Amino acid sequence: MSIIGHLQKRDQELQNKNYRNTELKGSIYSMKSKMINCYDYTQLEVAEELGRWRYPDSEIQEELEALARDHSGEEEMEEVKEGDSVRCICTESSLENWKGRTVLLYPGRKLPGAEEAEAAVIGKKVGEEFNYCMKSTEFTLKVEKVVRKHVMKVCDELTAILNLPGVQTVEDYYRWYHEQHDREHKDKACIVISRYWLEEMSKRSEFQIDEEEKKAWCLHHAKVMYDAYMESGIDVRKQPDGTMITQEEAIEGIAQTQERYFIPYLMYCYFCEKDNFVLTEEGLVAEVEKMAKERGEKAEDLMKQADIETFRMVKYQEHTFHMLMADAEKYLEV
Amino acid sequence: MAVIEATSENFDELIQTAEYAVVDFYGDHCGACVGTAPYYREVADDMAFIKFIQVNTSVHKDLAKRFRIMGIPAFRYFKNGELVHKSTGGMDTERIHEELAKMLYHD
Repeated sequence: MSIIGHLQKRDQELQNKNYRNTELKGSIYSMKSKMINCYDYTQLEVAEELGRWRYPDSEIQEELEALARDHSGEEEMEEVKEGDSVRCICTESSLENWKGRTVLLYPGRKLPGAEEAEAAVIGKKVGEEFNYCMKSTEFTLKVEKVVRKHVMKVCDELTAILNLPGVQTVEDYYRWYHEQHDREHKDKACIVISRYWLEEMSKRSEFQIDEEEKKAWCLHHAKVMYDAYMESGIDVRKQPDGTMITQEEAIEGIAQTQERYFIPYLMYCYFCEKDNFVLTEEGLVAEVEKMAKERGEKAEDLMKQADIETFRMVKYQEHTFHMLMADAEKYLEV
Repeated sequence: MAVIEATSENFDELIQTAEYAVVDFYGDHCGACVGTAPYYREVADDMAFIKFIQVNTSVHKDLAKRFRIMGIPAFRYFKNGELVHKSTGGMDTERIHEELAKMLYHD
């Protein structure tokens, strides 16, 4: 069966489900609800802070320090040197409670009370015993394990071993980091400006709302969400107090949460129509086939999860954001 | 060794399986905690055989209650799962060494 055929069969199956009998003509044909007068968002003043995207050098430094820690390590040694960590066992002592006790020594750190032991352990080998005196008490310790840390510092040696294209020095890394992340930070700021514009447009523009169509739109999305929840094992009929509501009540509840997305959807439709951007069923199939190829999945399997209305909303939203973000770029800090 | 972020669920296991462990009880919006953190991390990276743990008391209030944490940062020192020493307040490397010595070389 062709994918179009599969899509038609699936739609029929959905219609056959007793709760999926809503006819959603609005999005397949031209919608009765629409934005009839769009407020010119370019007239809005964009606050300076919305255009800020630059990040401090400390962010890059923190990233480098984390990389240095990742490249640090430790290895077991045979002989103790300053800077090592040494595990000893107390074999003899006039203090009874010290006999058999594990004693950790860190030569070079001068931990109060252990200075003499730290000095005495340097040069000793694993298995070797040595004596030292602390507060007039004699101790005999046996070296059990010696660990030497290799702490990588933030330096050119670190950045050179990262194998990043064109990066040898710390300075190169800063440049590379900006190349990799500036765009992402700019995009984030553009999204914030675009959201601000959309929010203001939703308040200042004029809309024509067909209440029946709005209800059908919300219900359709609620049904898709209901199916998705149930398929993933989440029974949305179950209430926090353990009681159950009906399937219709559950869908109605979800539908109410969808109402706030209707006005934004009308705005997306407005801008897409203006740009002659339309997602048809054939377009959906092409997108799904492309996605399936990228993910190494069968297009038919992926199609089973696809809902054209949801897909259309996502695509229209994406198109609108791309358009607004291109304008928002002008408001970013230089 | 890197500092381990403990939760209410894994705290006991972390403490019980360590011969020596130190726990930094910190909290959100705590300046002294932020000031101590790099020193604590540096010591943790430097000293093997000791488990360095931290607990966010803003999240794990049950642990703060259990260990009677009144001011943060607060530190608790454990040997074979038993509490052997306590300290409170921000610290630098030298001070952390002093407190660790009390855990390692107590009578």
